[in-house]
Amino acid sequence: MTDRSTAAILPMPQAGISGTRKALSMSLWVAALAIPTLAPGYTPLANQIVVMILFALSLDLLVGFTGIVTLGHAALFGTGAYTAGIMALRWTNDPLITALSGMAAAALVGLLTGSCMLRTKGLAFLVLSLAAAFMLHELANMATSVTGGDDGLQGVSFSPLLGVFEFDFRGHTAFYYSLACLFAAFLLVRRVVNSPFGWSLRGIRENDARMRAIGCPIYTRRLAAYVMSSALAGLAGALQAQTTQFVALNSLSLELSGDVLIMLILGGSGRLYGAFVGVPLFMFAQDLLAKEDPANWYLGQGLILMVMTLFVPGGVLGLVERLRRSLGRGGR
Amino acid sequence: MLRLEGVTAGYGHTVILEGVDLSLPPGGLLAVLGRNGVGKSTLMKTIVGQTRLRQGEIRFGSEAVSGLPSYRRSRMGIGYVPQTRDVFPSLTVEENLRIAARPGKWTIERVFELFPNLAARRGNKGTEISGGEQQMLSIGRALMGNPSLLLLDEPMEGLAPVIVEQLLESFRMLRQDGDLAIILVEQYVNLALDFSPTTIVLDRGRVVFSGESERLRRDQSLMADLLGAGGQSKAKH
Repeated sequence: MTDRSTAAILPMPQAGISGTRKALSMSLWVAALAIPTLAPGYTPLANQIVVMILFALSLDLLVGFTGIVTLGHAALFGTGAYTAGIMALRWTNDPLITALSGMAAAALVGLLTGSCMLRTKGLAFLVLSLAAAFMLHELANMATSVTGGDDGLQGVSFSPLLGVFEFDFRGHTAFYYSLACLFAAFLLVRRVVNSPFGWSLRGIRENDARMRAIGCPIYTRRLAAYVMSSALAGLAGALQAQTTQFVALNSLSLELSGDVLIMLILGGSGRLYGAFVGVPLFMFAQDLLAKEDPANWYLGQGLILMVMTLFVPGGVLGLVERLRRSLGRGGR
Repeated sequence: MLRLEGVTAGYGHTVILEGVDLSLPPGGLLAVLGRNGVGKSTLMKTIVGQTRLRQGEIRFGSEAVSGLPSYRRSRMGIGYVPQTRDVFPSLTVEENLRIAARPGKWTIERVFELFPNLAARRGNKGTEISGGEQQMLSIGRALMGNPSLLLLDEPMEGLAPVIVEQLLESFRMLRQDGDLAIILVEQYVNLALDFSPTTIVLDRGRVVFSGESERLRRDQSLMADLLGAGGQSKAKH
């Protein structure tokens, strides 16, 4: 009975901080709801950001929580986008059915590629992920009759959401729809990473030999995380297709894989909120830099990234965490 | 329950253990002694399947486990507490324990009873506890898997005497349990000889002594021969 008596007198660790965090998180979600009313002109950009956050969140499950670094995550995003687009042009343009199909297709691609690639790790995995994404990109480029090749899929339209809400020009339906999907995905990922399964993923990230020695089949766990992440990336891709009514070949590109990784690292990986911080930061910076110098804005972006990686490991959230810790120590 | 026959193993092209035989009955105790670098840790790792087995066979219960991956061996009931402890730093004490849980008589409550320190630190991250507590956590985590064989690799290393006492007390409790077999690798010779009635001594990857701990303790010259001056000084502990 020692444990219960000891546990009873212990304060819940960091209860105050997690309470503040919860309040902050809730108010951000509520604030997001007001964007179409307060800044109607920015709704399409906000939608883009929401979709990219979902994509980066799916990557966080791999990079941040399982320690699988991939340079081919766009392959899964693109699979979701093309599946939704092709289905809309040929069979059905119901948003929910096509979104679910996009998720399923990406999960399947994730299962097939992951079951081969996850037999390796580290650098070998990185190279394989890159190769798999290149192959898919080239396939989409060649199969012009299905994918439109370099021109992409144009004029993809979807029927009203739930038969009621039309995807209008102002982009309000699109935004709320994407936001709802992101919220659901966020709840799911949060649930997963705080479950025993999620702890085992973190254990694998930190010491896979140790995880094996306590009876964890790490190949299957990593594959499960990969398929889950693929499905969410596929959903993000499908949302992109549905809300922009266009699927471009670059949804499968290395550039996108790299960008999403940068966004996540910028915000801070393995923290669940890294995607929510990194994506807007990256996209605003990109917007600003492109306005300053349309020709050479990649230079500025590269510089910011180098500074962040060298001096702010753990991203913006890591920096906030360290500041809070040192402030807390000073106060005591 | 555990039987090694002619086990030759190592890492990559390097052979560390050569022709090791040993057997342990259910609930049995065994101390493994030897100078630094003679292959004690490699022996533990070979039993759990983290080395390259070149020759010989390892049987656990009625099954040959030589070809099984380490997670399968763990699920069959081999619990391993490595010298490096390997607590997961980003998980809390409680998460570190629950992550390894498998059904059986060892539950988190029972682990907290064995190590009350851990109960008090249940919400702390793996890095926010002392070395002794990390050792307790590593042992507790192995117990959460409800093993029938527990491998302890130098659990006392680098710990303060008062913590060593606490751990010894918990080992005595585990020993009284009866149906848990334990292999203890230890540098502190007397401590190991007290703990287990049977002992093996390794030297350069081979078993050079296997028998009653008392016989080894009585024969000081044999002990000096097998364990060297280092063993002698630690024997005074």
